[in-house]
Amino acid sequence: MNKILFVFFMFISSPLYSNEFTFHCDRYDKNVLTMSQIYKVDRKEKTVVWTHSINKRYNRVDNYNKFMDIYHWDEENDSVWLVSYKDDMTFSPSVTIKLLNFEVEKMMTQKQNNFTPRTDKFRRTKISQSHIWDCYILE
Amino acid sequence: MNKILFLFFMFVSSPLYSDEFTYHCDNEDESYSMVFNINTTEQTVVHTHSINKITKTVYDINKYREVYKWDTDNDSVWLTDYLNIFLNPPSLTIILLNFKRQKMFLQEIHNVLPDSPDFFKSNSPFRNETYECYIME
Repeated sequence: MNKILFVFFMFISSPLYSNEFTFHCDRYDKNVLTMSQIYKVDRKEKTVVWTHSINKRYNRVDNYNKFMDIYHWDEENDSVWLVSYKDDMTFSPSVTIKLLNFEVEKMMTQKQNNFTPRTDKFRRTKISQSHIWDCYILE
Repeated sequence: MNKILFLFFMFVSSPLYSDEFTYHCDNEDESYSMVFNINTTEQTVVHTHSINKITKTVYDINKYREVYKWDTDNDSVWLTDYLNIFLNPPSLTIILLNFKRQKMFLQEIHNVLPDSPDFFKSNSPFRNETYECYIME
């Protein structure tokens, strides 16, 4: 009986997921899965590593292993805000915000392209891009 | 003749605007404006006023904005602002001021949570706005 009680208390006192986990997020465009992004999250160390990006249309997997810049770790709401700046000298510079909400298992992304002489016609019509991703946690 | 030439060279070599100026931005339907004091030498941005043209209300802000990246090559600055106000879900705003194009682009994400008010649950968590701007010396 004591053993059962011990196991029961262990179960109810454990968090839904541990401090280290994989956060897998899928993006659907018109109900078709087009992209996935995978992150290794360490809530104790407060680090997020973007490990992979998967393009389902072209069946391409990109390995990143990039530590993301943490803008704000919101412990109260079990969320983290990431901000990144990109200027690869090919396209116009851009800033991307990512919100990873572990509680509701969603990721929201917004990319803002600057309007410069390097901005091509396509990006002139897409200065801003926003997406909601459906995510799940893998221990 | 030399004086005229000197003045001409002074004119062509001077920048379009000085190091300190006021940047006034109006949203697309011209119902809302935001005014900033810019110092390109110090690389500071002060949000001085917000103006609601519908209710004819002027808000004095006078707040130094957090500069995320000053892009001197493209005459632009990116600002960030994290807000967590009681009853509203936390939000992160990115503002891009492009002085060359005289534009402002505002983006915002609201972290919609299970206990967020219904208004935020039923609306998009994203905000995207483009403002037309002008420079006042």
